[in-house]
Order: sequence, then structure tokens, then C-alpha cells
Amino acid sequence: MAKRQLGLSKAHKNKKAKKEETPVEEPKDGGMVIELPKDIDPSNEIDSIKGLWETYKKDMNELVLNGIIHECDRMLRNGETVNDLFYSYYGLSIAELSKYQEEEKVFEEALDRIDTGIEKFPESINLYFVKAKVTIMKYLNEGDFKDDVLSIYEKAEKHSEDTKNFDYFNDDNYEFLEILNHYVGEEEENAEEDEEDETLQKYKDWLLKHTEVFIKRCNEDMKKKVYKHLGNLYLQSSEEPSTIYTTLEYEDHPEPTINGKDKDQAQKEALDLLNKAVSYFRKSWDDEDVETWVGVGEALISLGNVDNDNQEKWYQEAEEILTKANNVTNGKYKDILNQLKED
Amino acid sequence: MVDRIQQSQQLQDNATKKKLKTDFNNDEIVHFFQPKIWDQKYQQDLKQEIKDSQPYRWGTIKELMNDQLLRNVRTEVMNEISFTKKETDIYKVYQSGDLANLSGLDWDDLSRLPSLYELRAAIYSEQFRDFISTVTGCGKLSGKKTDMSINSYTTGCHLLTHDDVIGSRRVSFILYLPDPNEIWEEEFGGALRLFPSIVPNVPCTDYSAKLIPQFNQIAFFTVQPGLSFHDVEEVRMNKYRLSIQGWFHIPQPGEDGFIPGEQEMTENKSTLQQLQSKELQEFDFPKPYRTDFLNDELKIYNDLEKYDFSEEEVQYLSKFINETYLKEAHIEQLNKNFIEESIIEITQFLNDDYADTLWKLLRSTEIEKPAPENSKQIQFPWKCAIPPHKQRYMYIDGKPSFDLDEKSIRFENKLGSQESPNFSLLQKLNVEDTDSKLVELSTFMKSIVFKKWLTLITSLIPTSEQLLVRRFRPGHDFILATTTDKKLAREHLQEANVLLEATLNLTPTAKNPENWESGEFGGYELCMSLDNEDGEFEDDDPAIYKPSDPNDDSVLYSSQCKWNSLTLIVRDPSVLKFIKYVSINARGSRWDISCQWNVRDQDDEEEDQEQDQED
Repeated sequence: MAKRQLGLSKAHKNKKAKKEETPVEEPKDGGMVIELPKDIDPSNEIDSIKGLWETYKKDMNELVLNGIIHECDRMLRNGETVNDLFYSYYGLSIAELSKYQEEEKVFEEALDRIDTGIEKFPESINLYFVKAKVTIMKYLNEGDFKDDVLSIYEKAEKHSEDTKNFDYFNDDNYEFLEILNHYVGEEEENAEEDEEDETLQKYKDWLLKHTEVFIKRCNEDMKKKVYKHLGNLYLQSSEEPSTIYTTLEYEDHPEPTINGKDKDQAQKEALDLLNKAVSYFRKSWDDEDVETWVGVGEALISLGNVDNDNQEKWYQEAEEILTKANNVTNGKYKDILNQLKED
Repeated sequence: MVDRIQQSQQLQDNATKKKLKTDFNNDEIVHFFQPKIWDQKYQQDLKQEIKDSQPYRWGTIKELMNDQLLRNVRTEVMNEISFTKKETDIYKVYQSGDLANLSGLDWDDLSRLPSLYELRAAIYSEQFRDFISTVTGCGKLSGKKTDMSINSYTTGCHLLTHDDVIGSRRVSFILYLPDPNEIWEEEFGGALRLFPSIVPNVPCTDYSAKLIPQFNQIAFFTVQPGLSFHDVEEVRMNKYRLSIQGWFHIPQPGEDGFIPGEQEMTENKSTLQQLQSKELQEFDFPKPYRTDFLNDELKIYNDLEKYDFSEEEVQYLSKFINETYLKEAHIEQLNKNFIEESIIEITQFLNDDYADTLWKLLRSTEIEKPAPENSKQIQFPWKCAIPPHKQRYMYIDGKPSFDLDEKSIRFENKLGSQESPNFSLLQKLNVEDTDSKLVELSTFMKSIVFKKWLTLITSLIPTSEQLLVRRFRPGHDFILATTTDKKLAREHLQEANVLLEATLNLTPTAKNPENWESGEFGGYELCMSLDNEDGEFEDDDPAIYKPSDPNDDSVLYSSQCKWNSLTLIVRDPSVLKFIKYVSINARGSRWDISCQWNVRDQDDEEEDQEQDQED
């Protein structure tokens, strides 16, 4: 038997020499090879499109997107049997092209495919969800948000409730709520400080209501993410009454009310919203995700700011949580902690 | 004809006008800077400040340049220059090309970079060089040999401890250009940190001065061989910090202040050479020494021919090791693979119960306690690996602690008792639960029965060992690329000229591979081969690599942080290895147990026995 090559370096050279003796043949067509997720049946074409879509979401590769669209075109040309999901992925993929190309008609084309699907499958829950998402993407791309998009989403939700089919409360469709939340957040930032916007408040209330519906219907594996979102929504909603309360309680304010609320009313409202925020953040707690711990901590601090009877208790718990978060993130929350300790 | 000549002349005139100004008069140079720096009192005050500065002579000036000029420079750079990510064991940074050849660029390039050109002219002007010479007392500086580059630091970028002593550099400077409309806060990271020295050429592991750089601020220091150690703290936020890094060199032939032979003398002091110095290795801890086995123990491994564990031995092994790896067929397969590749990775090495308990303890330590932020916070049985221009990490080697000053180190090396590692004794001391568990595991890995198992897996007979429990903390720890001694084999022990190395990767946050697999948070172990027969690196940068380049032949092995995975490697002296700096944004520390053994090849052993029989 030949003496063995001792050492990583020598073994590597040996391996390399063997490889050079037997070169590996490269594929001739230079095409792209995509590995589909394991649960996809490659012989089922619509399943394959679903697999490609999931691959696209993971890698955000424009080539994969083009591949989906070409494949959908081919299936229609060949008169193959398709279903509502087919039109969903078709429409979504065309809409996604807007991220890579400045093509004016992208959204029109996407909605055209979706509407064709709705015509053929009028009871499709998913198509309405997808239509809502693509429509909101279109409006924001054009810089012209219209709230008729909310009723499209509501239609999808109603279809689900009527048929008791909640399969489509999934990650893809949740993006509609995330996009809307992002839009509302940006509008609020750009709004003047004292400006009260009833429309924005309407959207915030709508968002809260429909996210509450979503959490009841989605799968377990999505719940933590949605709880975190709900926690944030309630925390944001609590800002106004909390600020009113602390101003009336601790500062010399000339009037006994602000925005029509007196101190007690503001405190009650803030407490109600903050208790919900804390509750949702607690449900979102993930040992692997430090941000969920910080969510609880920050909500507890806010709660402590208005709940005089239990202030010490909330601050104490917040400090314990933020200390752990700070340890695990190598000092990222040092400033928040120091501030809390000073207070 | 006359018209055509006139037209031609006009074109030439236009061309001349279009060429950028490349000569600047005194007034122009002076106005490139803030007026304060030309004030005598300012210069004297700064000179005194530098003289009194610690840990070595360095200086800083806020608002150095004409504000508009520098804003223009920043805009030009952002618009016109592309950056390439460069990453080695010692840094991660986005670099532009070298700016020394600005003068040689064509019109298009110059027109795109007029402010940058002015800046370079200003920095290397005789006026500014004289200013630097005055305040630092460093002597004359070359105006001919310019040496600047633009670096961009963003999230994750860093530059580990070094002293800039290369070639003919005399003064280092860094001119900072973060966003001029925003204060660069301490929590963003990216600070310049200066390190005192234990002795010349051996920096302390903790920095003693820190500069949080603002727009239009310059930091500079004379390159002081063996003293001017510094690093760039990692940028931890999603912020973008531009800087122009450069050096003034010693005067070149023909320049005022040129001294024949000075360049060669300066180059001899290069730290790269000092790094190799045996004398300075006395300050390296932990030492690369392995403890020899007693003859009785050695005989056990020598005599081991096949799988033959007693019930008692199996019971002890299975307290720790996954029982799959105690089955003879499995061991044989692992042995076969190992002989072929000289490397093997054994996943889920520890059994579930032991692994779960250990995981909870490690994770609890990370959550309940902040990681030590400097060497003084590191408590026994842990110690800090030094010096930081080679390595920094926490380790347990089973030996007593000592202080990291010159006197204590000399006592440790030359006067005090030379203790051998004793993990069993450590277990009896009052240490924390996590440490106790790690020590228990270490004791097991030092046991005879574990080494019998190892011999069966590797067909290598261990003759000596070193074991370290290690922790690499985010934002602090790393090991730079090093090789072993060239001569590892001790002939009287008939050893092979290799080391058998084991790394039991115990990073608890790696249970979720997503936390580490991208490599962006560092902490990975990488083995590379040296390029040439002499075993020396041809490149100036010994560890430039492209880890994602599948055609990069020099990378022999790389491994992200893992949980409960044992890797065995036969490492020959041509293998360079490092542990990449762990980012402050990593999800947790890298934890491992690292072992090294001198070995004898079991094949050689059998051949010798056959030879003896024949004789």
C-alpha cells in the first residue's frame, strides 16, 4: 500500500493532481441551474413555479424572476391547465420587475394577469390578497396612494371568513400590511409636528384592526412576527395619550385638557394601549431574536412612565431584560440602560 | 492657411485652459488649510501637546482643511471613485486605488477629481510638511514620495493592531471625512485607538487612548518602530466613514534632508521582521508548547492495534461522546476518510445530554453576564492571549494566572515555577458552573481513553499535547495568520513533521447556522497553504484571500463557527491558519476547545516493527 500523504497541504495537492487527471465536464448550454425547495414536486408545473417564487424571495435574483415569467408565458401559449395560484405568481412576478426595471407598464401588466385570474376564478381568496398587494405597490410607486386598495384587501379577508379557508394568511400576503405600515410611518414622519391628520389616523386604526384579524388566522410559525408588529402598533398608538398625560401631570400646562383629553382620560387610554403593547411584545418573545426582548423592555419603560402605581416594578423588569439584551449584543443598548438607571 | 494655423492655436489654448491647475503658489497652499495652523502659538501649543501625549507621540487637529474644499473632496470621491472590499485576517475595509499617480492621469480623470488633486497638493506641500516636521520633531519629509489612499469604513469594517512600520514611512496620518452634517457618535464605532507597549515591539492588549473622528479632523503620529501601535475600531452601525490614509516618507535622493542609507536602516526596523524575532516570542501567550507524555502512557498508544475498548472505557467515553462514534464500523469509516483527506469533521460529537447541558450553561453565561471588555476584567481560570498584533482571545490552559506587565511576564518565563497544565485540579476549585463544565470536558479530552479513540480515528500516535479552552468575544478577539515551527518532528521520538490539531467547536449561537454561515460576522477558522517551496509568503500581505472565490487554491479549509462539531486536521508546517476577528455585531462569542499533538505515524510504527522483526 502506498504511504499516505500526511498533512492537509499535501493531501490537497494530491487531490488537485487527481482532479487535473480526470477533468470534470462542464455543462454545454451554460444555463442556470436552480435548486428548488425540498417540498416542491418538480413534475407539477404550478408547484415548480411556486418553488421558483420561493427561490426568488430567498435570493432576490432577477434571472429567477424572468424565469418565472417566461415559464408562465409558455404555459399559457401551450394552453396548459392553470389555476388561481398560477395567476397569483404570474402577477406578483411581473410586479416585482419594478424593483429592477423602470418599466412604466409593469404594474398594469401585473394587474392585467391578476384580473384575468379573478375572472376565471372569482372565488379565489389568494388572488384578491395579491391584487391588494400589487395595487398598493403601484400606488406607492406612482406616489399616489388611494384607499380603495383597502377594500380589495377586505374582500380577500371576507372570502376567507365566509369559506373558513385561512390558508392564505401567509408571509407573502402579510406583506400588504407591512407595506401599508411603512407608508403610514413615512407619512407621519413627513407630517408637521402639530398637524393632526384624520386620514392617517384612519389608516392606523385600519391597520390595527386587520393585523388583529391576521394574527388570529395565520400559522403558528408566523405569529411571533405578527405579535411583534402588533406590539409596535399599540406602542405607537399610545404615544399621543402618553404624551398628553405626562405633559398634564408633570409640566405647567395652561389648559386642563389637550386634544380634548384630560389627564385621567389620557392616562386610562395610554394604559390600555400600553398594556396591549406589552402583552403582544411578550408573546413575540423569541430567545433567538434579541430585538423581541428589547421590544418588551421598551414597552415596559413606556408603561412605567404612565403607570405610577407600578412604575418601579415595570422599570425593574425592563432593566433586567435590557441588561441581558445589552450583554448579548455587546453593549448595543448601553445608552438606553444608562438612561433608565438615571431615571 | 493662416486661418487654419490660428484655429489650431486656438484649440491648443483651449486645451491648456482646460488642463487642471497642478502648480499652486504659497497663498493658494496656505488657503487650502484653516488659518489657525499657520499661527506660531498654535504650532507651539500643538508641539507641546504632542510631546506630552500618550501612549506615544501623536497629535490631532480638528478642522484642518478649508471646509468647502474638503466637502468638495468628499462629494468628488462619492461620485467618482469606486471602492473594492478588501478583507484579510487583519482588516476589512473598502479601498480605492493608490492616489500617488494622480499627476499621470489624463484630462478626463483630472477633471473629475480637481478638489482631490488640490487636497493632495496641499498635504504634500512644502508648507504643510514643514508644519508637520515642526510639531512632531520628526525631521524632514519627502515631497516626492507621496503615499495616500482613500478608505471607506462601514458596518463591520475594522483594522486590527499594527504599528505602520513598513519601508520608509516616517509619519502616518489619517484625514477623516464622515458625513459633514452629522456628528460621528462614539456608539458608531470606527474610533482610532492607540496602544501602549509592554516592551518595544510588544503592544499591550488594551488600548489607552481613543479618538472619535469628526469631519475634517486629522490624526497623525511619527512612525515609531515598536511603539506606534494602533487599530481602527470596528464600525458597528450602518454608517459610512470615509478617510484618507497616508504616510509621509523619509526624504528621497535629491531632496532636502536625504541621508544615504537611512531608508535601509528604517526598513530593517520593520515590524514584519520583528514579528519573527525569537526574543519577542517570550511575550506570546499562550505558548506553543506541548507537554510530553510519560513513557507508560506513550506505550498504551503505541501498542494500540485495533478497536478494543473495555466496558469501563466505553462507559467513560459515552458519558461525553455520541455513541454513534463509539461503534467500530463508524470509527473505521472515519479513519479511512481521515487518512485520505488529512481532515475530518465529526458533527454532533458530544452526546445529546451532555451537549444540551453545556449549551444551556454557555448561553446562560452569554446572556447573564457581559463579556469582559478588557484584560483586567478577565478572571481566573481565564486568561487573555497576547500580544494583540498577533492575537487576542480568552483562554484556559489549566495553569495559574499572571499579570500582563513586563515584570510579571519575565517572572512567569524566567524565574517562577514552570507549571504544567492541570485541569483536574482546576475542577476542584470554586469556579463558575460554565467554566467547571468546560474544564470537565477538557479533562476528558486529555484522558488516555480519549486519546486511544483519537489514535483509532487518525492512525496517528500522539506523543505530546496542548489543550486550550478558548473564547473569542465579539468586538475583541481573533488570531492572525501564523504557521507552526518548520521543524516539528523530534527525531528521537520518531515523530512526523506535522501536528494533529483538533477543534471542538462549541459556539452556542451556531445551533442556528444562519447566525454565522454568511461569514460576515467573522469567527471562522481558515487554513491556507503557503505559496512556495521555501514556505514563505510571496505577497506582502500574508493572508490576502478571497474566501468566496472557488478558484482560490490557497484556501485549504475554512469553517464557520459551529455547535458541537469536532474537526481533526493534520497540519504540516506549510499551513497558515487564522481565526477571523469576531464582529461586535455577532450573535455571541465563538467558543471552542483547541488541541494540538505531536504525533508519530502509526504506519511508520508498523513498518519499524516489521523491520525489527525481519532483522
